[in-house]
Amino acid sequence: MFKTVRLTRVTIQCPEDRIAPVMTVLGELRLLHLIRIEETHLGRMGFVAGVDRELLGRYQDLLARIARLLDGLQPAVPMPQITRIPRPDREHFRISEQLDRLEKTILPVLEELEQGRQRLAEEREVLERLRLLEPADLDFDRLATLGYVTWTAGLLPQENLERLEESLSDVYHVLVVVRKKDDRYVLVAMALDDDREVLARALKSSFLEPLDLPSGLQGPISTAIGRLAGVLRDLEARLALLDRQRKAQGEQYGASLLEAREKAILCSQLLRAQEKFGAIDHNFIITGWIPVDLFATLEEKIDKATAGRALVDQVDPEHIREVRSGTLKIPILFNNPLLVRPFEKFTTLYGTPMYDEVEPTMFLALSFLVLFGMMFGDVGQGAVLFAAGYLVFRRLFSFMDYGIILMECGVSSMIFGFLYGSVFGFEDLIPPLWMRPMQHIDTFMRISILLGITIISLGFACNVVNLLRRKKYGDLLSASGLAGALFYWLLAGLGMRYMLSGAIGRGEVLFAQVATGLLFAVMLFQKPVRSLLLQLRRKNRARQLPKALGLSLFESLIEVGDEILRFMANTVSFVRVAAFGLTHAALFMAVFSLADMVRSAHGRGFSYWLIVAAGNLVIILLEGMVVSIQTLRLEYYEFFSRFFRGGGRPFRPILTGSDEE
Amino acid sequence: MLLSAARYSFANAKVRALRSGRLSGEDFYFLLQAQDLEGLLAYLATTSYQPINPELPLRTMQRTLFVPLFTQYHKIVASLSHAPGRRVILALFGRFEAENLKMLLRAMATGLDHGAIAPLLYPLGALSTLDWNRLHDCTTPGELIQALDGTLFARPLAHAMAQHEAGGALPPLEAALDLAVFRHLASAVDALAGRGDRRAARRVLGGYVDILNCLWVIRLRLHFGLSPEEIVNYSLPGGRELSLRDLHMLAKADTVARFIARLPASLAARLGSLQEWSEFRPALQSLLLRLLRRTLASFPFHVGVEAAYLLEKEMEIRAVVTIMEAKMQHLPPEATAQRLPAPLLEETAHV
Repeated sequence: MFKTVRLTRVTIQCPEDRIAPVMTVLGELRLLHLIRIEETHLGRMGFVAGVDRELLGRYQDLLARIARLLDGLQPAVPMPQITRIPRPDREHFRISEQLDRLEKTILPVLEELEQGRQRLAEEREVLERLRLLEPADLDFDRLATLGYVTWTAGLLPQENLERLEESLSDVYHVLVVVRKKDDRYVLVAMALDDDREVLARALKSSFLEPLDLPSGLQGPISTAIGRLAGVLRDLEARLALLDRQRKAQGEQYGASLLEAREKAILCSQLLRAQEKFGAIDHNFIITGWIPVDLFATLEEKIDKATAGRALVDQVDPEHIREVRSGTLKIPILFNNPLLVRPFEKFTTLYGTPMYDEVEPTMFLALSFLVLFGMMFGDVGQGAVLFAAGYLVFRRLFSFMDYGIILMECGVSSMIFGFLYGSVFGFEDLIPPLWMRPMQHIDTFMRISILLGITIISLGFACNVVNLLRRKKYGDLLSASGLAGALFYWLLAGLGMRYMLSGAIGRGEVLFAQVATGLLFAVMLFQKPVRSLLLQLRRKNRARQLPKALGLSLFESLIEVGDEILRFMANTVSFVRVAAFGLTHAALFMAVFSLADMVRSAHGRGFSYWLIVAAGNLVIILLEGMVVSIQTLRLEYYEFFSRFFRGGGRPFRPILTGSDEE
Repeated sequence: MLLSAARYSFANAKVRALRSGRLSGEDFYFLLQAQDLEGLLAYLATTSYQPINPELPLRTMQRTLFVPLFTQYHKIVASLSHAPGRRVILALFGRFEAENLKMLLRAMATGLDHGAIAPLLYPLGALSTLDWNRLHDCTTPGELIQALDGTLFARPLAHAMAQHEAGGALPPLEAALDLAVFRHLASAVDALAGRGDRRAARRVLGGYVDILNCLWVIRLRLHFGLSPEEIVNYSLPGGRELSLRDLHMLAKADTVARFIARLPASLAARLGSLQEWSEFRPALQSLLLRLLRRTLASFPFHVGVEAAYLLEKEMEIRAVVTIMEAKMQHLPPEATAQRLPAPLLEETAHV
């Protein structure tokens, strides 16, 4: 839990003709983080396998065909689970055959639907234009018989009408303003057919936007409109029928199309993974990280899939030269329980832990919930947060993790709500199981500091474990190591003793003076002494040694002083937990003061409850956000900064599914 | 009158101060006589104009000449406490925004990038409220219209889009920009509260539009071969003496004599001696310049003074630009002088 999953490096050698079943096995196991072959000796020597571009291209074509069908059908069916990982060299035949069949059934409907929609849009536009001209009461039959007159209808900017009149003053013409539309006139312009060119030039230069009407319109305009409306109704009915067919097809074929897409994506990913493989003659070499527990299964499955023609080898990380030299990083595979897993997002937001570091997500999750609950303790508001989290969890799949965090914060808030005896700010509904923060401000602050000391101590402990794991024993004597931790615990213990009993014995003070003095000396001199020893070991007895020693001592003094100041500042920083807890209670007081003013004027009516509800909503949104930020700030600055080094590499399984496609 | 004096006294004083830096007839004499472009720039640097680097491309030099004009627009707008008067000056300034927008449209049509057209744009400075960065990023006229949403240019451009899309040519869009800006100018003049103010502004700006319309009719007829009905529709609104009917008649005139005969009597009398179409530009510009100078010498408390000064300054800069181009083409000073408005050269010389 406090350590990531133990990984081992596997190397698989298999003949070219067996690569497909091997990839299928790797896909099924999923938990393989491939190492790019270029990062190894073999890769650097140029033994790199290429991607089968032709096969990959086939899958891209298939995916495009599937996307076309899915875009058209828009099926509302759940995403199917792929239980069997397909073989990339074979699966495309199956998918292609399936698509040929489905396209014969689906595409005619989709194409007719598409054409119908396009036609519908065009006919609607024509109808719109005809309606603009309706007040002119045009008769298309009569207009068609005009042999000596030409006419045009269009939209003319109002301010251009006078100019248009003038520009046509030399020719016989009629301009009929039919109506106004926005800032333009709907205009019908007529002139003699001999003056067709003049009319066209004048209309064009006056910025008339022609209302194009289809040829073949007959009878009075009202009849044409009625006829077109009828056509539109028929078209809409036909489209509705086609749409029903589309939906039915979506239900019928949606699942199989989604499954085909998922398989095509998996095959593409497997094929793309080949660029990380090595190749010597007709053999592929695959290398990557896998959980130690899975190695036996992997070996067995590959043996079975290749009829014993593949070699599977395992090397522990500590035996790999690139790992020891730091050129190859072991990826991090988190190993947290379901309820803690969402908090991994917060950890990785700060940085990805190194393989040999303490994985702090569990500590982070617990302390986050405790701090949040302390600052936001209320049964009612906690329930609202829980409900909001549940809603996110159920409805917004991609934000599921945040939904879980919100639910957990809600539970923590409810627990502290019971401890404080607060339900939506009402403090007379349930008795406090512990205390009311506003009535015990001193105690609340002391507990906050105690919590801070615990979290900072935890940070020290994590750092000590990290130093031991990295075998940096000398750093244990530093201010951020064990010596610093002891120094801090001694002072913290003394402080706690004073806070609890109000007095410290002379013997205790003497012990503290001696012990802190010794620890201070250790922290101060450890660095200069270590550098001196290092120089002696290198047989570098230069004459300027005293000067370098003095400088090192001065640096050490600054570092220790800085670190001790940070202890104090970090501890005091936790007073904010009490401060925000009290702010939460104070905001309730403000809301209820307002509500009471309304009650004294109008009684406990709708206005009173409206203010209480609105106040609670504001507190949930505003205070909830502030508390979350403050909690995260405490975690990052006061806890993580003590031990977290980061710079690790996240584990990327060979198959990621459609999410990353 | 007291109210007008209170409104315009500060702006008027500002104009008088700025006008002291104009080029005299003597300055133009030396500019015309300069051996080459370098000599011209050397002399220009001794006047109120800032020194210009002769290494710059000609177009950049020409645009740099306009920098003081836009600074002066800014100063005059800031000195006008009268909001409708300020609106008139800003509307006048809008012509340069329209010119820059035309340049952006041409860049879109020809596929030129920002770097290529930057030297061709007027350096408008802080007075322009258009979001030029966004406008530079536009790649189609449609995007440009969207980016201009809420400005006086958006609606006329949108109305011209149908013609642009039908023919794929820019002139409808360019004409729409010109019509928009001059319509805005006319409405700003109409919105002036005082009758005297309005009359003076109409005299100056209406006269300016009349001269422009005459020049446009000639240009559209001779250079672009447009028909009279098109010319009428592309003529600018807000003229004083020339009605739409007059412009239509002018557009139909096929000889210089007929053109002059169809002008209103006041203009015809002063242009009666012209024989060639090419003589119209300097002659009309001279008429305009005289009108502006008369305005500047008369009753001072109206927005016409500020407008007249800015137009006078603009004409001065354009005259310098003409001389620069003539120097590049090695034209003799006499030939160049014929292209300039005569009043510019008539100012007292002190040689």
